[in-house]
Amino acid sequence: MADPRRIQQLLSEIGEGIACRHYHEPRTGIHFGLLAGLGLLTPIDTRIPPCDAHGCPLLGQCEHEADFAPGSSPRQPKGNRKFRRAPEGAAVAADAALLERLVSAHRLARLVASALRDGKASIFTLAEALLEHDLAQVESGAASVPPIRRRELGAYLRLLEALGWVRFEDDGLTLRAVRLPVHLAPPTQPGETA
Amino acid sequence: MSGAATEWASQAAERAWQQLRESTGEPQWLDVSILVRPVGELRPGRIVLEALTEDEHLLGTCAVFNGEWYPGYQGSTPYSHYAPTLYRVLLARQRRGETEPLRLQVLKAVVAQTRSGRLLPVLLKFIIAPEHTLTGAQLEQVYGCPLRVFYTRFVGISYDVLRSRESGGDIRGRAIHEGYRRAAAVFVAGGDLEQARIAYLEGVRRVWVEWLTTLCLKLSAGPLQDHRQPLEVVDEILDYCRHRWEGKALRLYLERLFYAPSRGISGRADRIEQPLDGGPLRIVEIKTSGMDAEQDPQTGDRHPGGLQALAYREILYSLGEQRAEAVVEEIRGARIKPLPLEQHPLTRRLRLDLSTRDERVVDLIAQARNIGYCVSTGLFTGYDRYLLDRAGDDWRLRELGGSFEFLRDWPPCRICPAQHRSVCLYGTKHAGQPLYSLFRYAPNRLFAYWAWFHRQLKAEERASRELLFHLVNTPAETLEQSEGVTIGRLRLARQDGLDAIFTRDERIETRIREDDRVLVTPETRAPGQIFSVEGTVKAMGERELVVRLNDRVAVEETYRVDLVGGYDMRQWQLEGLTDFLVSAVASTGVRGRKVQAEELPRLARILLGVERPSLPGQAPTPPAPDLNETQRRALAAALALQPGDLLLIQGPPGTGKTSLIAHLARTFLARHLFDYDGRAERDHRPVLILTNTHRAADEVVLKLLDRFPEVAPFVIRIGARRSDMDERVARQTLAERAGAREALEQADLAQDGAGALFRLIRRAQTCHDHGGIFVGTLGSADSAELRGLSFELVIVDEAGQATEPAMLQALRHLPPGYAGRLVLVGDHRQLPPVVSDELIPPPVPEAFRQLGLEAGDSLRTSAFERLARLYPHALITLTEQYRMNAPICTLVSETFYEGRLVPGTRTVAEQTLAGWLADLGLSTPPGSVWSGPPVVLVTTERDPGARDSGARFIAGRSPDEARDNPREAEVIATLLGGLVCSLPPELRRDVARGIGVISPYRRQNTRIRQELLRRDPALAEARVDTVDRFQGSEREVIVVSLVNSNDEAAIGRLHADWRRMNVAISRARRALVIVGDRSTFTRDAGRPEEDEARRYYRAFFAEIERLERQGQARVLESQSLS
Repeated sequence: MADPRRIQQLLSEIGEGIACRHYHEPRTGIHFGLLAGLGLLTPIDTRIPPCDAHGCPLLGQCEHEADFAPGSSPRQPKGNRKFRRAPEGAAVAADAALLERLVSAHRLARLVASALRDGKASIFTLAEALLEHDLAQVESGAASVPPIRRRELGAYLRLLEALGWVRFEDDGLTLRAVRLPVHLAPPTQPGETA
Repeated sequence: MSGAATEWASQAAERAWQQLRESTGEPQWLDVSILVRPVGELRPGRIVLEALTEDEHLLGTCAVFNGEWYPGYQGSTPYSHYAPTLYRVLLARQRRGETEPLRLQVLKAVVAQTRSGRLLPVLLKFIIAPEHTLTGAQLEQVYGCPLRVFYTRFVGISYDVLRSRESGGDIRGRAIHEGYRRAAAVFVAGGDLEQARIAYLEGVRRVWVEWLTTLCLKLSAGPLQDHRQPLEVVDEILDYCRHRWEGKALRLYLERLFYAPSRGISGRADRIEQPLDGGPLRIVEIKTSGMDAEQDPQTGDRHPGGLQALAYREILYSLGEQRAEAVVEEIRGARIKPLPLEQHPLTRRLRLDLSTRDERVVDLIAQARNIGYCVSTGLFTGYDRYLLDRAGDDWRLRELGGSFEFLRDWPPCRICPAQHRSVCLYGTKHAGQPLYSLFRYAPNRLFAYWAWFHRQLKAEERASRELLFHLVNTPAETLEQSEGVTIGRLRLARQDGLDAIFTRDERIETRIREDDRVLVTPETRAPGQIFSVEGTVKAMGERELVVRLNDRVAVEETYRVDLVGGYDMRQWQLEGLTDFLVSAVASTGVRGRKVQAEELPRLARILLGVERPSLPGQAPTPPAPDLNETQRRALAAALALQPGDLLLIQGPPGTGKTSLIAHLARTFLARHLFDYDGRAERDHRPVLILTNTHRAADEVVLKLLDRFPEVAPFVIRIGARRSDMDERVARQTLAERAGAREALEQADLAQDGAGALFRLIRRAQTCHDHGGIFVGTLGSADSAELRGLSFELVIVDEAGQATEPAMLQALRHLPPGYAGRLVLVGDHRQLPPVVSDELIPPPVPEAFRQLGLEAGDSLRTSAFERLARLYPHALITLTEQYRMNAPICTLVSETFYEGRLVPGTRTVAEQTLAGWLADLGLSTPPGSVWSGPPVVLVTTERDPGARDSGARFIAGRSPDEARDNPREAEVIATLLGGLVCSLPPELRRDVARGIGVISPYRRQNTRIRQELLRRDPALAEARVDTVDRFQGSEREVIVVSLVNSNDEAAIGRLHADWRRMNVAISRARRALVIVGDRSTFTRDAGRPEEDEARRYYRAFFAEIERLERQGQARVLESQSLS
């Protein structure tokens, strides 16, 4: 479960070392895609070190270890699995309050705000909005289909909840805006007073 | 073989034997069919046989020696497969206790003089069991690697569906084939290149539309070049057509099925060219991929299709076309390379001389055919665990005699599923840790379970493999009159594109029906000659038949149409069964020693009776006001299910199984909506729903869309649009979600075809990435949409109708180690799985009691039924039904469900026929049966005219299907006429649509339809069908025709399964009428196998009488109605 305090704790723990999602994600429940999306971690996509090079605690037990061993198949995708802490990550490790700004600037912020324009939205509406977003990117002729961020959206929503900006209701089926920052708040209707 | 064919073959054998005797010491080419039985002890090097004619007259003793040797032969002994393979076949038959003679097509034999001076006929070359048909493509596979054929065709090893595959079903090849086929037909017919180009592009477009779902495989979108090729090669193809055929008079036969009964080979050549000036026939095999190609010994180039083309040439030779030529046309990039068979690497490597009748060609074909027969039927291993494992020691199958002369120089392991699954240890392409001694190391119970079901599936397959031989060697009249699988004396009334309408003067009475696959042949020929065309029946009339053909037929005097079977479901069931064996053992991680049953994954242990499933738990459920208490309890139990566990939900008729499934799927999706990513390393998705039929899958989708429209963007209906699909369901298929149909229909393929296709693929992939509920049939486990996906929850609907191997398909998409949840929904008191009538189940071992199997069980016993017996604690029964009014419900409940079934609401309980008619502004005809109680029994016991016709079609093929009872049909027409004819004409059809008539016999249904039409054309709207086809449907009024009425109290095979009656009567909502002879069903007939059914029928009629006493039913004499 991603909440600011645990994120801060994780970033401190990573320090200047290498963080592998196969080790940290199951242990902390914090989605690395979200941390990367927030600019807190940077994926290592070239010259990815083998697991023993960064002293992974799961050495000898991890099913993914072979993927990073010298001589492993070049066809096996390895990207987006090992990360370093980004400068923003170091800043959040020092001050968790900085996270709110990054959350507001996250690429999913607009999509969530738009879905919450009536003050609440079904989780299915949010998931559909993500699908429409992806389809729009295909239609726009983007060179490749953008990465799917469904789990990232889930993690993002839970972070919003942890920040007290939204609340899940109706057995988790509905998301209600509680205290969204002004620039993410639903637009006011004509005639309404701010 | 029967009738004239037997007589003719017997005479031919007698003549051949005589010919042999007259040429002692000189080998003779015979090509005749004989029957043989081994004499004395079987020895591998010298086999002594008793030879018989087809009508079982003794010809004498003969022998077969290794290496085609015979006494007095002076030359060197070449290696030959004939004797070792025959030895293995005879040995296997002996072990199985098969005593009927074995058929051999003797090609070459000699009468030799032994040292003692005795004359001994020696068989040199022969086809073993020619009635068993293999295709040319299968022969090519045997030539490539017999071990691969053993693993894939016999054992049933398939690719792991949890791994993405790089191949996408060769859509590129399909597109080229279809385009080329159309272009060739158009050019030869009219010589117009531009029209041929249009036809080509249309062919490509059709394939792309049809196969778009497969194209959307993740990796298939990679090489765009792959999709461009069909468009890039069009100019070359048109140029080639012009170059070859411009100004020439010829006839093309496209994709025709042709068959050599004497060789046991069938084929479907891409094209046969017949010059009208009398030149030789030219067979063309088109190849667009070289995955399984032969390497040229001199140039090193690889070329595919050689053996296939050679086999087709041999088929034509055996049919009398001695001058036929064969060519492999390879399409590579934008080029066509025609490769005459003489120049093919296969011919060059084996140094075959095609200019003469080289016997080595026959040896090559016969070897592939005989070995293929022995291997694909598992004759050389049977179910001996040691032999099954030892088979994998050598791809040349040492057990079958060792090194065959005519094999490829090295097996194509790269494309072999047994290599990918690490089962075959011979090659070098293992994907993981090798599974040493799979069969010996598998737990005993798992192996016994696998072998028991496997044996039954293979027995079913045998009948289909022998079908073509049966059609060719049985008089058409017998096939039509006794078996109902042939319709003769048909005239071609019209040919509209590929739709052909055939008519005849006599009424058509047949087992053939819509959607059956048939072979259309001029009556002057035998089925399977190149003049036969395959097709699918589109419509059946009383004297008319509409067939969608694969190729247009020429106008002939008269035609015959033969049934060649429907969609073959055995291979995927075999694969599901074997996948369970392989995956269960592999996932234990144990290698090099015997695996204990306790080490298997939990779900496997549950299925094998080693461990009990958990007691159903009760997880919190979201509010679901439209579910009743038992549905809510089932929903809570399913949501509480832990990975590796099983839940059974029994849903009697009308109890809202589909609603429950929709709720479960939607709730589970909601709880896991943000837990999956379309392109994660392990692509886990929330829910997979597999059903036994397309209809049920469509209903689940509709229920989801109706009840929970918010989940629509995440629901994917597996498969392509079908003509009978609801439009809303069709829109949930991946191709439709991507807008493929419209986009491809509108795209200018010549300009930007590949680009348009590529965008569509990306769009479809995006929809696929977001899919959270996948719905399809059990047969779609290997479909493109599901490849690489595992699911947290797999629900099997209609599980009571699925065979056990079919149900095992559901396990293939659980996460590795079966770490997912399995929910089976069905009702073992409704129809069981459909299997061949001829299935004789193997005995049930005593030890199988631990599996929940009992004496008399077979493939017809569903996993649901077995597990419900084994684990009653894991079974939740839905008891509130929303279909039948109270009296009908009581009848069903008291007879079949121990009185547990009740109407779900008061409205349902009190619904009446009068109420329904009133809603339509009508009233019930006063004084008729329709104005009384809702349950009516019209008895025919005292009606002398109401006797059934007896079984009509015999010969072991559905002997009961043609039973009828004209008087019952008349009574039913009177009853329904009385209801409908009294109504205003403009409303009659509306009422008729609410009526269903059910009998188990198709012949009776045809008769009822005709009687109804005579009463009123509006009654054409009433659905008249068999019980099996009615399951899952309902009507306001149901009339059941029992048909069987006879002095012997014969209730027939169909009624002997009492579950049919449950299904038939539980289709009714407001009124139920049963017409039939009560005493035939309730008298003791002294047939123990019917005892259980008769107990149910007695209870059924007694319950009607009880209801009558309460004023809720009425019993009438049929004579009182006329």
